[in-house]
Amino acid sequence: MNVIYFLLFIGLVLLLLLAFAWSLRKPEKNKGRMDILNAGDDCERRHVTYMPQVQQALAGSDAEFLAKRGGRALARRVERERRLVALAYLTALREDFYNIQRLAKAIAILSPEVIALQEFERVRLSLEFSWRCQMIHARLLLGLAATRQLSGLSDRLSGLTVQIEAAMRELGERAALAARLASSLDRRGGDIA
Amino acid sequence: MLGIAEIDNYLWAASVVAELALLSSLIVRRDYREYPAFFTYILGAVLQAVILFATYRHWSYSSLISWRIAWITQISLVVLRALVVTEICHHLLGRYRGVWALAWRILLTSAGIVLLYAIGASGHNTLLILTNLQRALELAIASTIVILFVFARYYEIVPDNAIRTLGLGFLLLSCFAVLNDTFLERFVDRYVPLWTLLDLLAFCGCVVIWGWALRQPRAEKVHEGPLLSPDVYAAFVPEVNLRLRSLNERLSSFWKVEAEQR
Repeated sequence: MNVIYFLLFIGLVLLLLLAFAWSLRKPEKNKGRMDILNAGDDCERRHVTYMPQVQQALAGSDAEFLAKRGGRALARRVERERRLVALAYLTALREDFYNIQRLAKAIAILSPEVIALQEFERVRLSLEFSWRCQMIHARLLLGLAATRQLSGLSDRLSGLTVQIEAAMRELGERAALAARLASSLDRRGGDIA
Repeated sequence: MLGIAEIDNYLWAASVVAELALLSSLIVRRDYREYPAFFTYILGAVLQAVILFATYRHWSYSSLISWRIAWITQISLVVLRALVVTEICHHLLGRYRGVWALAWRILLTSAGIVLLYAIGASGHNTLLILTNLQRALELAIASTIVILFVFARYYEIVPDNAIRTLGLGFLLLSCFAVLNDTFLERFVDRYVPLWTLLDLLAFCGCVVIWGWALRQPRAEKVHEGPLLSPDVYAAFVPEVNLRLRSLNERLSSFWKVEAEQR
């Protein structure tokens, strides 16, 4: 047997075992579950609602003003602190994104038919979103990222949240039924995390 | 000191005892109603042992007819195992009608691709053609189990302990069979005596895992509940995807602008 094929089969088995171990990990946060159930009435507490404050804190003119008036040391310290705020904000935005995505998954689970293309599309989009967030996260950590990227992300997520809320209101009773069903399944043996 | 052949015999006897114990447990706990394919598989394993015992006594271990019978029963057992995996898939996702309709198509397609790939990637040693076929089937079974659990994880469906442990047992058995057959193909002569021994050891270990799985308290069976109207999905999910797509496009354009500026 060719050495390459020999290693290939061993590699495949290792990959399968790793993927299986990953699939058995507990969901990271149960908090997210509560966010799904309260999606309809929890919008006031979404992270995107703090976007203007974070944008203000990240504004370039602010940094220039500080450097002029307070000196370089102060400007550097403030920039470092603001970067930490931006990182925390990015994490929070990601949480918002995944909560919305979870709601879509819950609806898929409770639907008698799902459209494969829509489901694949969502997987692709969430992978893309994760990748881009990781990149922005890395650049923020290295001090390279422009804050415009973050505010752009906020704008879009904010728009998304507004749309979702409108859709939720429109769906009214049906969406509430989805949440109640998910909750009842959860209580009866924990099938959906 | 015991030789490998004698250890094989003891292990074989031990595996038959373990299979009979598991079969009895399935009957006593009436688990055969919940897991009919699994029950048939264990029954098949016991029958295989009986057939092989009779065959070896009648025609001797090294005769061609014994070799043929052994392989026919072995491949039949692997096919039965594939049916058990289908049963596990249905237990885990069956009650979510929409997701299940999507899942079984994905699982069947991926299993087919893996099967064809594994057959294609196998060597062309005619003596090992059945071993290679078995390895391809095992790899398809293993990948189906993994994709099933990854799928469930994506939709945040938590399997109950019994299903998870049964799945683990079948995955380990299939993965071990792939490794065992791969080593056999690579080191034919030196590995032959160990091949049966390790195969029996792995099987005994998995019978213990399955026994453990079925001893776990069974979660209350949840039947398919009332589902949402298809309109909810049609109205809501494409809208979410559209917004997610535009969010990603916006991020992508930011990324490009940043790259161009530097």
